[in-house]
Amino acid sequence: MTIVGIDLGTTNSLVSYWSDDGPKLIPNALKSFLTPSVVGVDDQGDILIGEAAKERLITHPHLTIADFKRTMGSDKQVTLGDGASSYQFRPEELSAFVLRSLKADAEQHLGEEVTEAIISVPAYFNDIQRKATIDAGKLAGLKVESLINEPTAAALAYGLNEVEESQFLIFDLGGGTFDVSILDKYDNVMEVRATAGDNFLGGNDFRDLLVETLATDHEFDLESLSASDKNKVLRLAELVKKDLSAREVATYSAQIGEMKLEGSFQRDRFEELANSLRRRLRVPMERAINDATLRPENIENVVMVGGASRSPMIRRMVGRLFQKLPLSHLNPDEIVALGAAVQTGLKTRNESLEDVVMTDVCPYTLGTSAVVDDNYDNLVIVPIIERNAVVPISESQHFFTIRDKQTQINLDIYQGENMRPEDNILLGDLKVEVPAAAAGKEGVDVRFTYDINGALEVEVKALSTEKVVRKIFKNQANLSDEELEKRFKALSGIKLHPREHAENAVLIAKAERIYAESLKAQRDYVRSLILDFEQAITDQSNRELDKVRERFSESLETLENNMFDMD
Amino acid sequence: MENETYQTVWERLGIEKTDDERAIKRAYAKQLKTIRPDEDPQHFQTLREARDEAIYLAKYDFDYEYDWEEEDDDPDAPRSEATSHEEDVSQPSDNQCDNLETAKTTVDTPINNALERALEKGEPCSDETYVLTLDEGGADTSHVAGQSAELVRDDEVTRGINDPLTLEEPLEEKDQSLSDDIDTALDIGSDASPDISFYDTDIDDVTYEQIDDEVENLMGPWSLWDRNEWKRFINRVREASFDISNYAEYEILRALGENLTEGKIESSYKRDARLNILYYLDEEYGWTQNDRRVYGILSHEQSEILMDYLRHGESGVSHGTSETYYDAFGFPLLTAEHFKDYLGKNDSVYEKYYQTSREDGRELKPSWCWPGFIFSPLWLAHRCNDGLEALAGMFYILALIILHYGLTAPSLIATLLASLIILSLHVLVGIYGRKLVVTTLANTLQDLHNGEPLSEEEKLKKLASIGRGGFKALFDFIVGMAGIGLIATLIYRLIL
Repeated sequence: MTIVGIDLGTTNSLVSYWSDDGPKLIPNALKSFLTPSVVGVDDQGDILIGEAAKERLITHPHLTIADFKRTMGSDKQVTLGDGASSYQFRPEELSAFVLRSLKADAEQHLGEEVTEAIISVPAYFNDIQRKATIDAGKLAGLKVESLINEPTAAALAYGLNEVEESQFLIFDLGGGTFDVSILDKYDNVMEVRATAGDNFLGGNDFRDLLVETLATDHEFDLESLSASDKNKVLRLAELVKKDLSAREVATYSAQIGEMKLEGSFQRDRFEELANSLRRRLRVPMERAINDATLRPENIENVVMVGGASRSPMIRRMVGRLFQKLPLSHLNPDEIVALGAAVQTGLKTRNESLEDVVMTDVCPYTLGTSAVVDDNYDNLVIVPIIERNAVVPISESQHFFTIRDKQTQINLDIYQGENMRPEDNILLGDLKVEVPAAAAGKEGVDVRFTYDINGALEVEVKALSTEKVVRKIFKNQANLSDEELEKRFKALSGIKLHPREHAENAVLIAKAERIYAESLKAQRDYVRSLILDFEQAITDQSNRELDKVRERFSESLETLENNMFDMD
Repeated sequence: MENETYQTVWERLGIEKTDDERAIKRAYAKQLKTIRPDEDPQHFQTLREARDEAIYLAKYDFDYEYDWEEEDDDPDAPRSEATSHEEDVSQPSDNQCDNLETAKTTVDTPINNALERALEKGEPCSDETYVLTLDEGGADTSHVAGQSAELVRDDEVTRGINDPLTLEEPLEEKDQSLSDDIDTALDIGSDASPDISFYDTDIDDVTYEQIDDEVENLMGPWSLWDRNEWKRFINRVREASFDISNYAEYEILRALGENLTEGKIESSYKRDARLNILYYLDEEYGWTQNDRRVYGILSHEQSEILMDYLRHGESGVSHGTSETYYDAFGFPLLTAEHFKDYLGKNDSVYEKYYQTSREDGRELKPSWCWPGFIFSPLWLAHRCNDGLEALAGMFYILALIILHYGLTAPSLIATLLASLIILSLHVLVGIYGRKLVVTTLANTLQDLHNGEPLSEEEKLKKLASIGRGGFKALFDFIVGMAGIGLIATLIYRLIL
């Protein structure tokens, strides 16, 4: 039974496993390792996942959704479709679809059933977001063995073979999240020294910046655009952004609804616009370095991970900060998934990894709220496990009653770095009874135990009565167990688009997008291409479907190349 | 510890007491193979705590008690070790906070938690604070396992914090130690003689010629290494993958020539800062030790960022509040405050001019200045108060004399000639005025910098007193006028 490693990304997801020759990625039905994290509903009411859905973002915006990782851990529901055939999905469920598709890919590739997985999450994902990810796994029929922090995974993949002994920093700028980890490798020990991050900062923010600027430049109001036009603008911005990575000036011209957007964008200008985002990138790096009690020059290597780290602007900034040329040996998109596979190898004690030990940290502070001065209304956070403490860890602290004859002590458990409780994330609460006595006479011993999988156990013991209250904050799901079960059943009923037809679906979706973007004669041409191709698919007797498909794909390629003249 | 069998951290790690951080880590790694964090979390935690404490002891205890002789005995100690040691000892008092930081994470006691909180609140790291937090910590130590261990820790914390405070080594010491370090670093590099034959095969002769002139320009007379090596290096930068060359070419090539010329290096610490950081370049790109060494010589700008980081513990480039810096081209770095204080009104015009023109060029580009053109001598007197106001005075009286001559002389040619001369003077000031102002400001700043050490505030005050010269400037102006007037009168007398 193989455990797979899954990188469930904001823009792309990957699945991998540990083989005897090291970590291996598993291709999807389209022979690509990257499966876009996009979910859509097709015309038959089936769920489309990945490339096919991504292509339909523009043509069927109300039926397609991307970027849902950003809402993980929230209650934000998305409605796909309208009328009777509409679906309502939570972010967990959308992620579950992607996981289901990855699971199917893995089963196809490995030739066996896959039921267990290690999923990577941004290091700075909070407890609730982590649980949502575990729930997503459950909904996809996967037992989530453990979660691994993305930069840790990257460090594992990078550190396993690339370095002997060094301290290096992983800079993981994905589509929607940003993480920094500092790793120390020596004697086959891979020790995460510190992790910091920003859950709401990623490559997409740079894109959105371009979108805003385009909107100001061309004087249109993004909000007033139709969903499909909005997606077109997003796509245009994405292309401009990518182009700016490769050259100084990106020229663009696109027809969006009534408007024709034409112009050019200087890299300098983009960099100036991105200044505030770049400043935000510095904060976690500085924190990680400080937490690891290092100085920038102690960092021997900086490894860039995540698609957005390809940008020369970002690389330059990192280079300046650390006075090192950042490295990116492995494909930055793939390294996290590879690391997740290494973790599965570690987990199963694969022989080739016998000697390797990895220790991770708890990336945020865990504590409770208490009164520390004479003002009893002034609750502040008392940290019990400080951020970047090596896990597993168990720490305790004493708390005492503040009023005479107080019989109960309430403990709210918080996660976060802020002083005021309300600025942090409330994970839950515990109540413990104490005998009535004078203020300060009765107390409790509060022990926080944080295990290697990111589960927190809080044990509260009344000092005088030795009565113990325990609470495990694992699986205290955002969805209750019954609800999870119910949703699982409901999801199982929804048909996914057949895997073997994935390639055709992508091509048709792509063609439809091109159709939507083009005008007049070109439209007619694209339409005829689509209809011909559909004809060829339904015509079962056609044995040359592969050739037809190739021709179709080539025609689309040519069309597309002529459309966005980026040079 | 609560266990009946009390173990010292060294016993726990299974090694003798040592100050070798590497050895401690090795022992920890060895034990870790048997105590897996996921299987035996409790033992793991004690092991890890023992490791942390051992490293802490190695860093602080040993350094102050034993390490003075041992340092000489052990020249082969890993360089990172030596560096960290140097930092601990030789960083002057502005690094107290850093030392506290180190103390904080290595020992997990309430004292340190309290210390950290104190640090976070941004309280000064004074003795009072320390005592206060120690009390706070002492009040709730009861729940921490192991009283005896606790005592040792308190002791260590005290020493770790106090010792760096008492060591007040002069700044020069620090510079020296840094510089030694760099020399070592460079020596390591030069030991491995660069494999030139490898390059020769790769070099395309056409490219070679194309870059020849550029190398000539960059090298200057002060080259540290063989000129051909430079050529090869630059050639390789060009051949490297896009992101490398994109990253490297602009900044490195422009900066190399100037940074390498010894004559331009103002003080040793600046040079050290520049040399301090060696880029690591991966084998994948085919870069050799030599390339790395060359690459390691950074532009001013980059080293300043680092220096700032070292000084303030944050990477915000705050030139306005620290020493005078030099930009990537060796030009004193001017900030908005400088302009504001030196020039008073309309400073933003000059700042903007400076910003745009320093961005890419080594020279300030001339920029047209209307006030300079119209009021040229008066404007000069108003703006350039670094002795130039006297020149302005001369210029002024000269212009008047010429004007007078042109007007009184009965010939048309004389009139035209006089007007032409005046006009060209005005045009010259119009064209070069701004450049002159910024250069004067930069020179003034540099003079201040080279003179007695001043805080940035004092410097700004001084700048203001020079820049808006008042009576002294007026005096100079008049002296200039009188001087040239006197000379002109003399010449006039002599000739006629």
